[in-house]
Amino acid sequence: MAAATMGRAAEAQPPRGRSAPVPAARAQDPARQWGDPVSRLVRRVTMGMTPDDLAAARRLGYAAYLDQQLQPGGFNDSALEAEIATRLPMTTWSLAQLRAQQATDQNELYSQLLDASWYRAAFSKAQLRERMVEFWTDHFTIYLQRVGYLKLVDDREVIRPYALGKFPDLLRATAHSGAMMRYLDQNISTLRSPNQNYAREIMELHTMGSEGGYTQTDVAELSRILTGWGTAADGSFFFNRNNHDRAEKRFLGRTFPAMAATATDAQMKGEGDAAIEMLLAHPSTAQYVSWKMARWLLAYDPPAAVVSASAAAYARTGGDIREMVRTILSSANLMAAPAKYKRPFHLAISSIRALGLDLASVPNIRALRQQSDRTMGMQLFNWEQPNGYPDSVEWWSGLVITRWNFGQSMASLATPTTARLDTMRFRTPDTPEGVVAQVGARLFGGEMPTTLRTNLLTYLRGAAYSDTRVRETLSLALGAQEFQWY
Amino acid sequence: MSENETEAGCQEYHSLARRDFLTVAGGVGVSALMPAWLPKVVLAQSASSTRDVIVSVFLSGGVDGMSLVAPFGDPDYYTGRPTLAIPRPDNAGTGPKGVALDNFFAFSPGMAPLLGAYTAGDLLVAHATGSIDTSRSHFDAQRFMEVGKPRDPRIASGWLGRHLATSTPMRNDTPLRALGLTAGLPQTLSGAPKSLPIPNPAAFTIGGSAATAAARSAWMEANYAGAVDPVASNALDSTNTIALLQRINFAGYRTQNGAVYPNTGFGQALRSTAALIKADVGVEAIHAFNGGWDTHAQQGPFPGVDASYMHNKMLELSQSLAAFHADVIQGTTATGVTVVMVSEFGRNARENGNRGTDHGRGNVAFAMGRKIAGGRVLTNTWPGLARENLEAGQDLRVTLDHRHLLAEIVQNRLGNRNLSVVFPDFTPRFFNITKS
Repeated sequence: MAAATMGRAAEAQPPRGRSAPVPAARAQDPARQWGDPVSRLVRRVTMGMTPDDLAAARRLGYAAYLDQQLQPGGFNDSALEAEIATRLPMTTWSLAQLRAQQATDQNELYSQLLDASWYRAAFSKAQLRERMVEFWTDHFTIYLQRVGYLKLVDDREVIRPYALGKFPDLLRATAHSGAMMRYLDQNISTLRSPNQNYAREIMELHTMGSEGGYTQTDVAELSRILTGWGTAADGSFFFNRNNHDRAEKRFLGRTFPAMAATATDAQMKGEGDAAIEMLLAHPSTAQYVSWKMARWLLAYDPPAAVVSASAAAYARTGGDIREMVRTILSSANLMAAPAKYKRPFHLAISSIRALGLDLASVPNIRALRQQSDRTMGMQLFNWEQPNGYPDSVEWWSGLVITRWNFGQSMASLATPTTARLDTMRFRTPDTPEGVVAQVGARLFGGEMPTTLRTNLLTYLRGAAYSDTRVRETLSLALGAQEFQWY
Repeated sequence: MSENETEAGCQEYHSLARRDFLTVAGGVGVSALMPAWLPKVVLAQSASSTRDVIVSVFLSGGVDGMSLVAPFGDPDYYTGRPTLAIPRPDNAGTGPKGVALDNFFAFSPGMAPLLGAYTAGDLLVAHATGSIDTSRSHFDAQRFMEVGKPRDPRIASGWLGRHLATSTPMRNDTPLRALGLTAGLPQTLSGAPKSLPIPNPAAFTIGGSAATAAARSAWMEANYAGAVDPVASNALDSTNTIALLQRINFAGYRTQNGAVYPNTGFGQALRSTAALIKADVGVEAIHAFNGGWDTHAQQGPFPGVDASYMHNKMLELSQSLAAFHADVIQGTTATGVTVVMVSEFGRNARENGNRGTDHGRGNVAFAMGRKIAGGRVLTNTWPGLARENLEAGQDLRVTLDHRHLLAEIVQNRLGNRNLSVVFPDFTPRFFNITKS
């Protein structure tokens, strides 16, 4: 098929001239172009590799660099957080303030949450935490349109603090998130009519997985156990004893005896707490969460041995996400792993980082973000179903035109009040060779394939050297298939 | 059979053999779908005059079919749904009421815009239909429907993708045979050669300076030729598709028969579909989603109940489809067009405590086209809503596997007899839903 279609494509091209590119080598896994484990690690733990990241990682060495990224508290992001607080103040508001404001300015509230997420992903030094925030945001998906400002609180108080903590703490926190209670209808579950939505998803999607060994009866029984769990008027978590089913239940083989009407709130709510502990302790949870993490960090089809090793780490450490990450991202595992395809959010953030943009050159990220959201199909918190945005080549690779166009927009950024690309960063030295060398260093960590280098040079030299031509060359590099993988 | 057709046929055959059907469930390894019996596939090569373009719509969330098409002739419908049951069509007074389709079933007021297509005999309603699998998980149930085989965690290609992979293109030289009007490739189309997700066909073009657009596009084509599949093939399909779509005037598209598409995402998706079909560029399958049907609470299936949420959604759906019927089904097209519409499962017979319904089983499905034997509600027996007739004491039984309907359309309207590939491990039975 490749030969025939190449022929057709050639017919469609303009007559070959100076700009005609050299055909690339036969297709192979992009990871084969990459060298040592350190650069692979930097690719995987950041939202986009920069020369500074790579230099730091080489200085520290694989283990120490990973270690540093696994302790996000060790980084100083105070400048970033101060800018976010100044530019996007709603993200700092309390629940009460958010509630008061949301009726008047809901769209602004959503936009500030989204902008802040982009700023953090692009400019936080704790890059691995940002990657795990994206992961857990999908794992514990909450659809923003359904819950409004509650997702802002969830992002701030549940996902981010626990992203590199202990999974049990994270799960308990999401189970007490007003946003989650609302999103999965737990807040309208009643004694007479228990709603099964959250009970199903906490097992199917959050812990054990759909093959984890629970039955439809378990779903029904868990929904009865969780009656009473819901929200207060302001959207925060609240346990209402009047909604709780006190009759006997049987869940995952354990009997929860009937309770008297004199039982305390703590006792009644305690059934749900106990059920959550059962889920955390269930071997399927260690397996399923490990598999998902391995799929996120390592490979679409992670080796069973890696998943098992991570599950063992879960068991050994009480579900320490850091230790699971460390197990999954061993040097040996990474060297054996094929490349993964960047989802649109990852592509956008990695483009920002590769172009050397920073807080000063991006005073207002909104227009840039909205263009990506509109065209590349991955606005944060906008996936309606609880399974989160897909992570597969098949789903995302069809929208290639929008990626090229986004790269073209990024390379054109020239508005100081919103976003501006300083092309002199790339025009150093100010020659075609200089530009392409900078592309190799900044976009590809010094591991740019020869054919790509040649073809970029050919294009750049295909017309008079100018800032416009340089920007077009950058747009090609950002859209090139080599830049779509990590 | 000309040399050209053989060549194209062999191309599809080889791409099918080589294509890596990446798993979506993951964790069980990549598995090629059907190497053992591939040599027996006979590529469908019937002339395009007997083949329709197919428009596949998926209503995601588990639409409450008994609100779309109410079984008003079943008394247990009303006892189980005191708030939500669509009022009988023969109710006195001027309040909202169903529109009778026969003496047992009625459209809800929200579906009334489709009455014209129904009485014209172009719209078939099927009821108590769905999957034989009892999963009430959205993701599993939707997946099983899109891949066309229940309970198989490994199969990753879609039924429509497999149809396209086992039939020659309706036009040999087309760069685009199928598209999903979504940001990602719908699983229904997975495995289809020359298929892309194109959420907005009108905006499918290379940006930046017009003076360098061709050179940049050519650069990208060559660059992506070196990529692994499906990245490479998607890019090629995309660049070839740009020229194709630019020739179509989406903005200035004029409908026939006074059809007006609602100015909503779905309405405009059908409008773009109409423009694509009428442009006759070789697109033969289009898939669209219409979501938000997971009505666990405050369902609002007709005006006056809560905020009429579902009523408004049904209006958008039916108005969009009715416009498509007037514009395309009754309009002038080079080939016939068939629309199919399913949802992953129906909802409980009885309403819950939140004036909504929870995940159920038996549901409606629709087919629409000039060659669809419509104007009736098809059931393979109506199982009834008395408690003893419900599945698990709560759900309308499935008495008609929806694959029977799709299989008949694939064979009789799409000209593809490779039904054992399109619907593996399934023996179709035809219910005469197509006209010759």
